[in-house]
Amino acid sequence: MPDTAPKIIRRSALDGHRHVGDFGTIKGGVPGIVIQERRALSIVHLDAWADQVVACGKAIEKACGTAPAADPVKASEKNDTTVLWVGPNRWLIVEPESRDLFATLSADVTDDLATLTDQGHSRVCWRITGPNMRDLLAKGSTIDFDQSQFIPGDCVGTLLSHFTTVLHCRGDDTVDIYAARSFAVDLDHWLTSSSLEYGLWVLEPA
Amino acid sequence: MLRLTCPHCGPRDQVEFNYGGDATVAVPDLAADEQTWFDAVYIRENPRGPHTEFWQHVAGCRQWIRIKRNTQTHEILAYGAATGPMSDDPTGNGGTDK
Amino acid sequence: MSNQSNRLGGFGHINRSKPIKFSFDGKSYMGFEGDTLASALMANDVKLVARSFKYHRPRGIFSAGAEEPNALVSLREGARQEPNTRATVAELYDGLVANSQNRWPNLKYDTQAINQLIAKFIPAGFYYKTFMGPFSSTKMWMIFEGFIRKAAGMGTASGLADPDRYERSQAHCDVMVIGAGPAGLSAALTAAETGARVVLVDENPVLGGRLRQERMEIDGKPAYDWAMATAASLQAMPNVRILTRTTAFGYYDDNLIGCIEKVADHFPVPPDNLPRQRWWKIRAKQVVLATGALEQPLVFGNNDRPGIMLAGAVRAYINDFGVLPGRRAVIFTNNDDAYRTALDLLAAGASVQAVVDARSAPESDLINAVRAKGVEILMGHAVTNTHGHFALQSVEVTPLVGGVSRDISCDLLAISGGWQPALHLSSQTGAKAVWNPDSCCFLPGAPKWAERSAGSSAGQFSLYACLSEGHVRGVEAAVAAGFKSEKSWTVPTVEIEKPARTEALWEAPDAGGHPKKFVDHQDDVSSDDVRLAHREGFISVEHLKRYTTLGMGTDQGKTSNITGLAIMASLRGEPIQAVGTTTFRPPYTPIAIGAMGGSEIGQHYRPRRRTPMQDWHMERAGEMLPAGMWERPRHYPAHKGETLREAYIRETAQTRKSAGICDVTTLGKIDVQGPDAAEFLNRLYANGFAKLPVGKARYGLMLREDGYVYDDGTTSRLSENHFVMTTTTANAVPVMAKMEYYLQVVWPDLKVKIVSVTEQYAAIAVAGPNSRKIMQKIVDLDISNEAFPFMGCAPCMAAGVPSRLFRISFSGELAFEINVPSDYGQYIWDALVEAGKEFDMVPYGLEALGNMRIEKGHVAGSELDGRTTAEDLGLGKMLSKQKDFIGKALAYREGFVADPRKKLVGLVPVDGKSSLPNGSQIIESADSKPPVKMLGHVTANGFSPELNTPMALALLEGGLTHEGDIVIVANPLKGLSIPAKVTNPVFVDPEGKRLHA
Repeated sequence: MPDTAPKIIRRSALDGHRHVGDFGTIKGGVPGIVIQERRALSIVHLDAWADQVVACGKAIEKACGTAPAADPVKASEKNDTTVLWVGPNRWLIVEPESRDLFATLSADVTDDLATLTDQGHSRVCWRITGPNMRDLLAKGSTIDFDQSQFIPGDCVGTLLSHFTTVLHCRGDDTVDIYAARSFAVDLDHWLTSSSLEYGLWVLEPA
Repeated sequence: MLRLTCPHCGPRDQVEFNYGGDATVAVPDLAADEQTWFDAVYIRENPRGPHTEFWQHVAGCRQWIRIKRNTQTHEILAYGAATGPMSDDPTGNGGTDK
Repeated sequence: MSNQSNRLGGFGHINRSKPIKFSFDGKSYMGFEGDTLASALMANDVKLVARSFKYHRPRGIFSAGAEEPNALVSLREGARQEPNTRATVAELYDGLVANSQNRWPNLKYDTQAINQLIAKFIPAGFYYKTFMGPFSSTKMWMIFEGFIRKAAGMGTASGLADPDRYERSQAHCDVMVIGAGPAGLSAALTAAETGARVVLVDENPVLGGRLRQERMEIDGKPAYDWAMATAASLQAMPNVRILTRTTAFGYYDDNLIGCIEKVADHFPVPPDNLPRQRWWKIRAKQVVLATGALEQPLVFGNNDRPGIMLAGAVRAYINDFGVLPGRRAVIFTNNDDAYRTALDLLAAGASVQAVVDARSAPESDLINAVRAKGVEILMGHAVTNTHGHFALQSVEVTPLVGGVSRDISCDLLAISGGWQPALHLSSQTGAKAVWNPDSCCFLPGAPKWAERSAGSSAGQFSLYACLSEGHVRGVEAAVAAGFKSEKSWTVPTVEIEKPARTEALWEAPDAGGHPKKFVDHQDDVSSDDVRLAHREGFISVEHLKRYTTLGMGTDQGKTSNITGLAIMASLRGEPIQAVGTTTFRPPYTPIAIGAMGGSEIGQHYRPRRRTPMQDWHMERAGEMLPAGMWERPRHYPAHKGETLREAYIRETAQTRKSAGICDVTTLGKIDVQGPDAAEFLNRLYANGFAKLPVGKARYGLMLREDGYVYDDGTTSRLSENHFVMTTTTANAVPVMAKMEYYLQVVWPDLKVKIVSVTEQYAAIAVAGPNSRKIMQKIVDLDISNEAFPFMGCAPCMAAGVPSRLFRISFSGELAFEINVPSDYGQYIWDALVEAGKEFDMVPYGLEALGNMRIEKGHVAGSELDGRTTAEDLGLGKMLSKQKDFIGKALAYREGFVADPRKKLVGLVPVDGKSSLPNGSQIIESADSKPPVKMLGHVTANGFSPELNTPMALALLEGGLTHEGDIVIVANPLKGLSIPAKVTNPVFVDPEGKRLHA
């Protein structure tokens, strides 16, 4: 092994497949959909022992500044950290890659509270914004995306087209979509081609 | 298409679930004898009417759940988590309609 | 170019400022925006538009809506050609091209019309009788099929790929209202005013339903104005979604309504990236069915000529489209409603020669109004025959009781047999339709799901009832969905009518001669066919339908089923309710298959999974092969022209000689953690895992509960309470689900957590005698045989990337597998390829991977076929005697241990050259006479460069007791019969020395 490791850049599943630019029928210069990949994320899957959920929540708060939301199908956020509910006593903790999230969490969330699994390379995340965000999602999922029903903070696991996804509602017209890396190219194609009628901007990854 | 209530996620369309078989049959103890295992693996009632079955919410929380369904009318009568009591509020209005 | 000679001034809602050019059968015409193809053809006095299905009789436009049985045309040309389109619902657009169908050489001179002359020889059941009866043992059917299919037919498909896009969408609502006539508009408005989320769908481009087609008044103004004003109010409400051009075609479980929105059918090519059609699935808490009613025809001699039309359709053409369907009209009816047609025709300047009313002495204001206009009304009469060929010229009218027939000259016969509620959607739910003798129609049955009918779809035919019931049902639905109705609503002022009673007349009598009386125009089913079916015992309506084809056309009998079953009821001498209806099934109207497929075609037919190195493979692989949802490289040709066989043999040889690299990311990887992880694995696997040391991997065999082999893979212990399990590519998903089942349902007390890490890691195998030297270049671990022996595993840094290294082998060579976080997969792959250059390392694909495992006698998917036991595969010793595990209890059943079972063996061809194709049967002798006993089959085959011979794995009865025997590998499909020698299934390095090198 050489002493100085070469600079290694993470290669997203979409690298080489992303088409940045304006597409489809953009009306009045305003796209109905804006798509941007959120890349180089740290993601840790956390599965709490059923009798340690409260203590585990506190440990997560200590490590990340925010405890998981009290209710299922909800996300919590603080600064750059998002805690996504993905099942009973199970969460994905997501941050833009900056610190060793797995090690940080491991320090506070000990074996007797939960198991931790590094999933930082397993998911691709798209941020979708725009007035047609809900129309786009309705093409693929049977969730009720009405503004009164799918509200900021909601975090639902669902089938979007063929793809198993987690949809994190972040605003009236903003959603983060998480999906398995191996499906990313196909899902990206579905998202972009389904957006053409609304007019689409694809941005460089954030 | 059925609308099934996941006790963890709320009512969802059938496409999000995989059917998981008869929930009235218990998996025997590993040490149980051949006949007990044979009955558990092969013998099924196939009732016409109310029936409790397993489904797995594969597109959502990945939990195995139980649904009591009328096999004749497709009416959903109750739902519950993998173990424990079942709720007889079939619409799951107690949960979040997501 | 024609001049729209039948266009009426002052009538209709078409946009006369937007003329539209279109063509029919190659001739150009003009119409207006708002026309359908049917109304535009009618405006241009085109009366003959089609030939009938079986007898090729001339047919015209019969209706003004979705129920049209006759006017089926081919729309568009080239790849967008759309056969069997109802001209009555095809919106006119500029440049529309339509052609008639089922005629040759053209509509007027259709040679197949000779079928009419032999009609009595081709009654219902003709084909069954002819080709399943006396000629059934001959090849007659095969000879005639082509001719018959061509003669009795519809339009043809283009045969080209549909260039347009179709999509799906979903919506949820509190109240869904289907149909936007007076009842639907009222229901939608009152439901929406409670605050409920309302979806209103209507199949037409404009809301209003029959209010657009009638000259009625609401609040002293044209009813059309009320409809437009109500539509505008609805449009302005944020809680209302209106879908026009949208047909609700199916009613499914739990109030799911399937709809097709024709987004861009009214354009030559879909503009603005719009899909051509959208398939909506709408989940409604409550549903109001305001689907209206379908006017039923009357059955009489030669009742199918062009110029014979439903009475309500005549009003629609006059009032909605401003087209006069005829100038000298006769009305034939059994109810009051058709009298409106007489008044509208008179208002439009036509003459009404007579109203022929089958009832004996009805009295009502409407009848009096027509009488007051001086129109002759023939009570107790029926039309018994018609004359004219390509257009109606006269009708024969006969008193129903005694008296003489007379001919009345006319060019239009407007007929009405009463109205039948469109109860298709309610019936699809299983609600059994109920016959109502008072209005001579079926009414919707008691609801099964959360729905109710309103307006004429509930049998309430007056405008007042539609408006008031619509209001009531709309509020009722909203309240049932959890909303409160606070606003009071008054029914608008409309004229209250007291119509005379409808009296059934299912079939007019003959008056001399025995002309054909069509029940089902589209399928050319006559009342004689119904009688024939009855005579021959096909008396149930379901049998009647299948024997005569009554109601089996694209119109699904919307204007024929009721009459057909009523005639059958009278033949059986039973009430109509007892005879019942046939089952209503979706779709209500024909649906394009493309709309069902939506965007899930081509690339999106099914999703494909890609490994992090997919692009590299796709650039170099000769072919990608599906493996589960993945696609994997089959081989990497060294140069253009290298065949698959040459490539995989070269890849095998080079890997065994020096080194090869392979992407094995697709194998399932499952993280198993917790204090009971070892115990859990011990229960899952047939062999022991409790004592697996940390830093070691072990091959594991998993059985199903029924005792057969399920899956295999290596599982490694990373720390005391942390394992990582691998599964086969094919079983990754089901094995994960099964493990979740055991943990959540069966053993919830076990402290174990599992999570799939298949996506997190790229997995790369480097195999061959030089693999250590290559791997050592990039990892920071001492991987000498002493420090890192066979089946070792350890975390490491690889070229600066935190990784997991395993010394496991599928190829049988010294081999390593490295797992790296996926985003670094290509980086590490590149580093390994670079490190392997000095050793001429080759990438190897699925074919060489499979070939090497055959050489080693390793079992894979083709042997783990759900019918093999561990013993069959030579793995019987793996079943632990020391512990209980899944499948153990049933693994020693009588049939599992009784010999002879088919067991794993190797085969080599005696000639040393012939391939032994997969799936070939193994038999004892090439001279065997049938029935030949099949001793087994070939599961996998390849070519061993080391032994320089083709070889195969097989499951053979008796297994290795036949070692050394010569058997015949027979493949009759390929004409092969190859002598082969039975061998041990491990062809290469049976002692396994290389693994431990």
